[in-house]
Amino acid sequence: MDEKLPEHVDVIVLGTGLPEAILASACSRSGLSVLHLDRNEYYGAEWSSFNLTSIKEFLQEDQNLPTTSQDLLEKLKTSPEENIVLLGNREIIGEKKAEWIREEFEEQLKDRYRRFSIDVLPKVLLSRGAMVQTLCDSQVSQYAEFKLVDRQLCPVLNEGKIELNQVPCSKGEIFTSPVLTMMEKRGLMKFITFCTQWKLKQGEETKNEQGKEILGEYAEKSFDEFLKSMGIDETLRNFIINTIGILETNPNTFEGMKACCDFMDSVGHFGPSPFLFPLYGCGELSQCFCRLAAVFGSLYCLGRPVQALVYDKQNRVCAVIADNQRINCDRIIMSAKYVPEIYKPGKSENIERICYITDKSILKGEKEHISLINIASLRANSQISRIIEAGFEVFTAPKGFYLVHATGSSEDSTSNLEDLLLKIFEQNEIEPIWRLKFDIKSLSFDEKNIEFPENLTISPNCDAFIHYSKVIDQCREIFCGIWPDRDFLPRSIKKEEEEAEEEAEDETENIE
Amino acid sequence: MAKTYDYLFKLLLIGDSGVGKTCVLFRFSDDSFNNSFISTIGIDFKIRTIELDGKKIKLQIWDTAGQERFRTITTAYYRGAMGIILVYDITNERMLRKMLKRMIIGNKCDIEERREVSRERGEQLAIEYGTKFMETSAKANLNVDDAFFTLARDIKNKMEINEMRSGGTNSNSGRVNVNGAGQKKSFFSNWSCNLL
Repeated sequence: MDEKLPEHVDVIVLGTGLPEAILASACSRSGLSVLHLDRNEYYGAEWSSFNLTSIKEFLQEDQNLPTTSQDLLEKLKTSPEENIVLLGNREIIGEKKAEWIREEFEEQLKDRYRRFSIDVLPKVLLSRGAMVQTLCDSQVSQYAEFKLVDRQLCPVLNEGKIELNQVPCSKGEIFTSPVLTMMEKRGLMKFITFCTQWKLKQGEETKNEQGKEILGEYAEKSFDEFLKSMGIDETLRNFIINTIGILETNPNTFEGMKACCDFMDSVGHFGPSPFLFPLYGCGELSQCFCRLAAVFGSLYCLGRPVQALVYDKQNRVCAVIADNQRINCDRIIMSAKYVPEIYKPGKSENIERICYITDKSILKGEKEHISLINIASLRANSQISRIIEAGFEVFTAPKGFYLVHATGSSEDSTSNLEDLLLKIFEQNEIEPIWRLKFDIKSLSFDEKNIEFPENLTISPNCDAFIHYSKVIDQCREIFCGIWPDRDFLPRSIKKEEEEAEEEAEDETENIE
Repeated sequence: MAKTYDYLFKLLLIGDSGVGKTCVLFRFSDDSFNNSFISTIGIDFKIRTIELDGKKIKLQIWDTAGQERFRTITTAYYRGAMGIILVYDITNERMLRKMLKRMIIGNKCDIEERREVSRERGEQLAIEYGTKFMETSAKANLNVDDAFFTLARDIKNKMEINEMRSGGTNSNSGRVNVNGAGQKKSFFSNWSCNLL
């Protein structure tokens, strides 16, 4: 390639998934020099989005794998006390399979392949959640646009059929909703008032104890039981539990109350729905953070065969070898994919993913919607099961087409995620066009029992949660743990000056 | 806050590392020039509001953040762009081989003695790609304003034609279309929101 990489940087980040991108941007934002590398030719790793052409890259076996001769690497040592440790190439995405179900579309859609944006890990943003807060603070928000998830559906089993009912979110929607009876609506409003008061009394989030105290003996008991004790009937109980279930499955009373408050807090912030979806898909987010990192000087290099780490005699990482070049660094941050094979991962969780292209919405409406369906209630033993349907509204599919994403944690073998989805398709006379299926492994490493070098950090793994709050919180924790004296993605001061300048200009213009 | 402009155009500068994109940008937005070459750090975009036919147009001109060096431009850079200025260095032939549509400007035209790319060559390329062409110098402040004004005027005209056709099938007119994904959300959106 044309240009050489620098000889020394403060931080090297391996992998361009969202957590790595967030950490890289936080580092370069606070003035550290950052080199950000990825073996893939594309951004985002397991947090990326692909169109129907580039999905081939995703389906292929891994690229740019280092073909390394140990001799060559040994030559890059600067002292005999150093150790070369080969980087891993762990399987995160497995069992990949894509196929055309209605084959005629393979040709028909050819000119629109690029208009698809298929998320590997589709999530939504909670309007008042940590992700939105970070996006705003860091001003990464100016790189992306969002739309409200404007339809939340709740599945109800009725004589073997899956009925999809629209969940009313705002006050207005609750009053006009045909799903609830008058009595139930009154009960719901009463419950919402209770939540608001509870939240007020609970005060700052850190003081969980107060909130628990108010709930008394119910705090640790099941939320359902608590609702029952408040005299809420079964339909409404199911309704409440299903709605917030997208945030918290099988909650105890305290978790349930918190989820209710989070949910209600976000309702009405940008519109009736508490959730946002990024235009062009979730893969945009990691690229947005990469842009911020680049603006603050982080150097980006994709498609690099990243080969090995160099450990010094104190068992610290002192360099990375990529493309047979040695780059010294003070700190390394990597995704689980790159963790050297000498370290054994702990228990990994599997996320089951299915994506269909369809030409009809799962629930026909007057306009096109971005829909979210919590199907956890149909899969009793599964922690997380949800469907997101989005299409042209968020530019993830060409006009008239939809992407239906199903995501589930796969501990439940009794009710298959795909069977449920196909059942919904069948009932609504949808013939899917294309299908993609794969698994994502959430690898975790027990950092207490494995002796990692002190300056090696493993970034947060892929999680099945509906929103991004956990990723952000984990990244913040990691960053502040390493650099306690630095701010995590603070608001840009220069920008504020510019804004003030602009406003001043505007004012003078107005006076004129 | 009341809108202080009639239109907001997002423009991009594209070109090889070191052709003077940032210099062109600074000349246009701040009317300043810095002779020393520093790869761009900390500059996201620059803003200048201009007036055309009585309309206030806020030009938001984005810089590549140095990501052209290893060809790692993020989608965040070009999403929603309405005009692109392709900058090359008239003292460097290599750059001209990678071309894009929109408007081409040949920068550094103050250094005539080191010219490698003839004016005609640039013009011809522009015709081939159906774009406008101009030679500029950020250093001597030649044609920089002109280049941006011309581009802004083109976009404005195009937009007004589209508006007259009243929001129907717009936006796929190739010019706004960057990487096959350039629909402006403002035409369709009901709940599209910028987080600010």
